[in-house]
Amino acid sequence: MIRLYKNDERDLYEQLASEIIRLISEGKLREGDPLPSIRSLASSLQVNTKTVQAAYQLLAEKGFVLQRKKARAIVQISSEADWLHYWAPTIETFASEAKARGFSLDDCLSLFQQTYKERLS
Amino acid sequence: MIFMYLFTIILLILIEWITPKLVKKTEVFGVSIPEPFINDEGLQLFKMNFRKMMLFIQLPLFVTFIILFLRTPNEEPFLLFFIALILHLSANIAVYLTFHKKVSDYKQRKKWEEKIEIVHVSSFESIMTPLPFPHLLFIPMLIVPILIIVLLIFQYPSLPEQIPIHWGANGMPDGWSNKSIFSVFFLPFLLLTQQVILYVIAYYVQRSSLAVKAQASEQSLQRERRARTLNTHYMAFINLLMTVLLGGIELLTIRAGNEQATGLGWLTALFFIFFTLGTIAYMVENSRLNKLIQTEANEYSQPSSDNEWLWGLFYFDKENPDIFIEKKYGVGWTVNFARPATWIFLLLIIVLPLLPLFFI
Repeated sequence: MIRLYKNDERDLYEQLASEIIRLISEGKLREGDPLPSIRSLASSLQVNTKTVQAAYQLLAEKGFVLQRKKARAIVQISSEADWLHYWAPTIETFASEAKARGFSLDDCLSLFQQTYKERLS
Repeated sequence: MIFMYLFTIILLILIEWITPKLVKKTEVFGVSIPEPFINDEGLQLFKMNFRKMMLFIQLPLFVTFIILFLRTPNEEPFLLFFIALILHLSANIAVYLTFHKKVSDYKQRKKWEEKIEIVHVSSFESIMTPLPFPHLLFIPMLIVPILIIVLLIFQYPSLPEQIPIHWGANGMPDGWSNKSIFSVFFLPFLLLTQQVILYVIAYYVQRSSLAVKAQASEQSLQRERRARTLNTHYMAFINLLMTVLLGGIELLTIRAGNEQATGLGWLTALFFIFFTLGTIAYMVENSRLNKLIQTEANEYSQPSSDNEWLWGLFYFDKENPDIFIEKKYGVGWTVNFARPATWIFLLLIIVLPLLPLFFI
């Protein structure tokens, strides 16, 4: 089940993208699985087709989905190098900001550990 | 005729009387009610007033026409019946639309939309792996009209010169036509078309997207899935009945040859009995499913679908790929008028049974 909250601070398409990533992390969606057509997912969620389109686009940028012309998008997890390349600037920003605020390496690690563990349950 | 009138109108009033009990609580007279407010007392009052107003208008009409029927015993009873039916149905629609408007205004006044949090819910898993469709309930039936058509091709030279093409309510033929490809093959073609139409409807209804509610989403999902399965089984049942009726009429007529066919009256009577029983069972189960919709005492609600529905009756959404849509109040199905495929389908329903005409 996917739930998107209108009052959430994130846009609907961002929530949808992270819900699909959650399904991948839970093993409910596997590499090579086709995603629902944009229109059928949009009508079942009662959202605009543009929302689903934007979510698939975001997932493609993040390297979780391959969008194909005249065919359904499929789950395709990009190479580790690509994914690390995508996140490198964000990690860099986080690291320098954390250091500027006086966070120690351990502080950063425990912060990350806490968030990661929430996903395991 | 007066008995037919009594029967039809009493049935009509009875259906209107129980309808508010059968429908989804989230839809009141075609207006979406945000989930936290579905037990609002004002809405219950509207439902009660609807019944009062309905009786207030239908009963005087009813009495008037009974008097008219008794006073003009033999003058055009069909015309009178027809006029009576139109008036009763118009009154029905007028009362419904009045309450549709009233509840729309009430919803606006209450400003419910400002007090809820909209949640878009989808059962992703149901889209990925839809319920398997029971093709075997439909495909074997197709053999019957095809066999009849083959049989008729072989029997064609020895068929009588007059072919019955119309049957009365008692199942006896009351209209004949000269033997032609049209008059001989009309009935099996009609049966074949009906089977295909029911098959197509059942298939696409089952595949239509599931609108899951924001509260008690699991139950809501179960309700959506079961409503689709129920429809498939009902369609399969109607398909079976139609096949037995039309196939039976055809076989009994062929067997009788130049003689008067027997057993048609029984066949028709059985058809109507089973049709009524099946439909009642469908309604009962459907209303049971609508009671599965529950609330959780929070402010979550699914988005309103009011904008896609004209008067809560006609659905237009060109973004929705589905052709068949569950009716807003949750009993039965309708079509998405904004899809070109819908219009093609409606056209086919009219044209297909006439196909033999093109072979004359």
